[in-house]
Amino acid sequence: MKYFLRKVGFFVLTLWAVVTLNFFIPRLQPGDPAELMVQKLAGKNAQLNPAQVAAIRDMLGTPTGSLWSQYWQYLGQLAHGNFGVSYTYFPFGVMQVIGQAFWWTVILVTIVQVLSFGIGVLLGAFAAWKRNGRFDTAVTLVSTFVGTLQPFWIALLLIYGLGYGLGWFATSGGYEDSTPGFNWGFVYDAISHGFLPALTLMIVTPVGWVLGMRNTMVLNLGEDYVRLAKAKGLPDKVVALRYAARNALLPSVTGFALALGGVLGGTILVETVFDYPGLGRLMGEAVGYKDYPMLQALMLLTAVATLLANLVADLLYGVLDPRARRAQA
Amino acid sequence: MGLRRTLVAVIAVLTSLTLLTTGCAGSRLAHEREARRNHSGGTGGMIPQLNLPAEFDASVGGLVNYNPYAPQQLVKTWLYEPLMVQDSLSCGVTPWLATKYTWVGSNKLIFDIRQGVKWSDGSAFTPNDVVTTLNLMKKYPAMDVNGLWTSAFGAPATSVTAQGDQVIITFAGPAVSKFSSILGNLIVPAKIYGKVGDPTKYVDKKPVSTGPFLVGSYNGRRLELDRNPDYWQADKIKVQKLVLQGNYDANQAVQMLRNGDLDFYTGEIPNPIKTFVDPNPQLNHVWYAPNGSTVLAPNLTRKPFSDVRFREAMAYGVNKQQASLKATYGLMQVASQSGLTLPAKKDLLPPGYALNGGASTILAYDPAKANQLLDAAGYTKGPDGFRRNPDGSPIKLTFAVQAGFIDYQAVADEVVSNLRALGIDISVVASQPDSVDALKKTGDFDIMINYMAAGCDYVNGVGATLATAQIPTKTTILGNVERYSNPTVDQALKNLNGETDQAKVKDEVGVLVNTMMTQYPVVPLFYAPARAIYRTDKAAGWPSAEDPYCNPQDNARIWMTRLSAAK
Amino acid sequence: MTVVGADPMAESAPEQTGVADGAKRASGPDPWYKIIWSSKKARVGLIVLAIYILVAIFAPLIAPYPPQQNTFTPLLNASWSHPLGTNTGGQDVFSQLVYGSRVSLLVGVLGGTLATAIALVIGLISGYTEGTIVDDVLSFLTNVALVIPVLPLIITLVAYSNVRGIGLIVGVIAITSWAGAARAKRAQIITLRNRDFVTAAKFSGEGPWRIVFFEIMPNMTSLVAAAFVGAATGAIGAEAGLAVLGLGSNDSVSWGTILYQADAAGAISQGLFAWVFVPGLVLAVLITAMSFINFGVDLLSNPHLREG
Repeated sequence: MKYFLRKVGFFVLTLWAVVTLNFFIPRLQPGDPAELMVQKLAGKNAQLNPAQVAAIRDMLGTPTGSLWSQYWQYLGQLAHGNFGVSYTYFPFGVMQVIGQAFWWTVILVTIVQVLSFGIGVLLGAFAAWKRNGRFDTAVTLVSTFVGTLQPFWIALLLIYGLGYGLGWFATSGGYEDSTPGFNWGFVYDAISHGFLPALTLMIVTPVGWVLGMRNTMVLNLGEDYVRLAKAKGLPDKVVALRYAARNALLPSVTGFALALGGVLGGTILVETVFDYPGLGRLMGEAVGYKDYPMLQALMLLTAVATLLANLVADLLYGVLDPRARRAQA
Repeated sequence: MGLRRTLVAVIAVLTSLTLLTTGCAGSRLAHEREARRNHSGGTGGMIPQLNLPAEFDASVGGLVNYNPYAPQQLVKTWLYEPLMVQDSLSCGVTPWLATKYTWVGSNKLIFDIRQGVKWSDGSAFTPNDVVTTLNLMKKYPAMDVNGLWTSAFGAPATSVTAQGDQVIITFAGPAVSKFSSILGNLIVPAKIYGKVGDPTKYVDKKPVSTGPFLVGSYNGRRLELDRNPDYWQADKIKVQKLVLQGNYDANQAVQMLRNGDLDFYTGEIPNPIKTFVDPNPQLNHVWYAPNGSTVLAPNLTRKPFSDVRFREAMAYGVNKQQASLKATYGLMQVASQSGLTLPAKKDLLPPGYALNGGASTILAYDPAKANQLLDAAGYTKGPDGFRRNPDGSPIKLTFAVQAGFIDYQAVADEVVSNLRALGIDISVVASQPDSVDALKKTGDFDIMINYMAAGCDYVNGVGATLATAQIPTKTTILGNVERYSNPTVDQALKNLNGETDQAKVKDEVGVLVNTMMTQYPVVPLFYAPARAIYRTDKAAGWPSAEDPYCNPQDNARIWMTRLSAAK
Repeated sequence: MTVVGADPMAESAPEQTGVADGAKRASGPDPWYKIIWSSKKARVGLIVLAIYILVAIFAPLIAPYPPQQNTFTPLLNASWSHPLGTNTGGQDVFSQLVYGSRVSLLVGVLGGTLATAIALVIGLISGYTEGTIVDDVLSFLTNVALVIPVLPLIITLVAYSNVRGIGLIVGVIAITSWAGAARAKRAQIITLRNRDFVTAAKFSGEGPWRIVFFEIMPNMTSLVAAAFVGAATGAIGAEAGLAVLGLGSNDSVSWGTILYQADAAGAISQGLFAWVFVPGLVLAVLITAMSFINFGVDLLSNPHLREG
């Protein structure tokens, strides 16, 4: 019980640290949101219109008091669940905007992660089973190489190859001429728009699973219980699936939980390149516009997701493998 | 071997799914493109549809707001309208919701409001709408984006009243230089915006507007606007449907333009001639109109830039042609040292410079002359091969440039290698654009690239680069980044602020030109563009180099009235 | 930012389980270099890395022009005199690529060292003092570092300095990437610290600092080496990722910078394919080679993985 209490205590403490850092990090950057917004709207080759800057400062409300008192104010707002008003999407609230983008990213990322986890674990397990065979070598070599490619670079090649070159997929946006909702037209539209961003993410993500699963499985295949099972004359299939693979899966599953939390960061670049209407694009935009309320909320969301995933993974590990309780504390 | 079979099956399913989607998507996109091509013929001189990028410069769709006084709105151009439209290239004024303007002295401006204009809900547009809109800006400063009630560009307004069909604006003092910006205020319906409290916080979902288009449909991404048949100049609008969709980066925009998925674009695209025009010179066109200048802004409070002789040498010693080639693919001409964009503003040049449309104000690259000027001014070379200040102190300079602006970085590299060839120890330091902005405020830099506005109001255009009052402060970036200060210039600008007589305006602008030509406060490199990148398969009559009737980037309202169906 | 946190995931699982054997067998019959060399992948990786190092050392001899020379016609297509063409500023892309190898390798070595050092100090002390307040504080720090979104942090750190040199980039990468490895090290030392040799050292009156860094650490050299190669690989990728976002070093041209410039100049739209394609490939090959070397290093601590 103490173990779980400690975990939760740490969770709350870390959350506070993250909230604090989220508040101060963006504000320590140089640049004025109002000037930035006017400049962006006008373009690089335009003189900054001081009247417009003044008006926008008025509109967004110039923060009063020291940074310190603003911080306390922010904590108070958070306690009431108030995330403030977005600068970029004024007068809409931060949560309203995030609500629009949320499902786009969640669906994209879930599909990509589940698929890549499945593919990665399968390939890894199979490679380990046929260790040092041709399949193993090919999988290890290819997945190592592919995993080192820059997502940006892959996106570029995909856009020009499959997007413009062959004209198979839409290259920007989440959908085009259908009405969002549960209808075939929209689902189809969304899939044809989401394919390239998903593929870009897919190419890079399974790699960790492949190698991780392969190595753990190799270790497990060397364990006594597997040798025993083999010696007992159990069929290969049973040994592989029921014994080795199942045990090798444990670290991968907890790893999967951890990876889900950190996934938002990875979507910033891909969503931006594909003009995909999700949270990653929103985060890139908030950084660019110095939309502090938006940035804070998104960073908090990311951090909470990561923390929760960590907590779940830790607790899960503690339950599944009592030996790990002390080591993982 | 069950594992293998499962694996093979999974891969097979995935592959077939991929092929299925790709096959369908492929044929669908091709089909749409085909449909668009067939549409392009036009019916009865009308243009069935034009595709433009979204005017909403942000990613998340589905949040509907047409309020023109929100920082971002779904439609900026086609719903709400201004009193008059001024073309920022020729400075001609086109009557819009007002038919005429009159200055009484320099502190009273009268607009005659157009009769017979209807709001899209059928009610009549009246001078009261104008008065209400402008007075709301007084009550809610957040709405006053053009500084009507502040001293931003001239004396603040003191009252806005209606008198019959006229709207009279009085100012606390000379305010002629406010004219260009006041015109741009978009007029909103009094009966709606007058009752919503702070208009900037109002979410306008059902716009009641006077403009040429009405909202057709919006699915969160694709916004369709339909022609307004009751528009007050409906006879001039030939476009039946406008589709606004997507924010594209430069590369995607090129592809969309090439495919005909976009008909008009004003953003940057890479190497426009090579990537866009050359593949289909019949249909694809670009026009990059001079609209201000990209200038070298040295810090005049620091040695050696505080010495006018050094600045003069620099004006001859940098290869502007080469800089333009690298930054604008050679599309933009070398800029005139006068600070005016030529040939558009050539009539404003004082007699001494007016010959041949101001040819003598465009300084050619002449490193020999630059070396000679530096030698004569006492900047002798030390043993290390670098020049020293006349007082013997060493010169070591940095060129601050925005990291990531590859055109600016190419210019900085070029200028630095030119100056090093003259024996000046200077190197490039690239920083975050935000950090460069911070340097503009603090003045802690040696030299950087800046933008010099052209515009029609010379106090806030050229004047912004030269006026003492326009030196940036600790909190606000203003135009006079190089920190030039000269009482003669300040007096000329003050005079311009109260001047409505064009002959006298020319005299005062002459003072500015003379300052630029003899004092070299900044060194213009090449003109900055207003871009028109367009296709002529559906519509003809776009502003172009042959027919430069308006600024393509800022004056979409004007070109919309000039478009006709392609033949 | 996938670039920063990518590697700890992949390596942590096998390391934790293999640690017990590692301490025993690393001092076994085969010297470490033979074990690494016995792996075919590691051999290939080492040879490729050696080629990159040679290119970096002899860059002035290999590159046809100085990388800063901007006197060529801008945006030339690939040709004999410019194998990868020229960029917007009229610089030879191939020469930039050759000199870029120096940046990547330097960032790899420095970033890898710094990140590993931070991870070791924090991870080992935290693990050794497990259960005490020191451990709590350090674990807390590690957790916060793992959770804080990296991109805004990097932008803030990078924006702080007007001059963005290699040093700053290395520092930023190290600061944002040590946490995963620190966590793994903490778990590893926990399994080691109750060994007999540690207890013996304690009884002979050695201080905890000495025990951690002079008694225990030498027994996990192979794990440290693997962590270093992993961190160096990550750093090279991270540098490229930052440069691609326009946040790279400004006083030198790295492969990421070349990619950024190529994209900003619309290289593909202009048909300048080599400009985009080659730097991405060269980068991927280097990182692959480093990963292959790590396969070999993993064998040291994880005998089950050895081939044959």
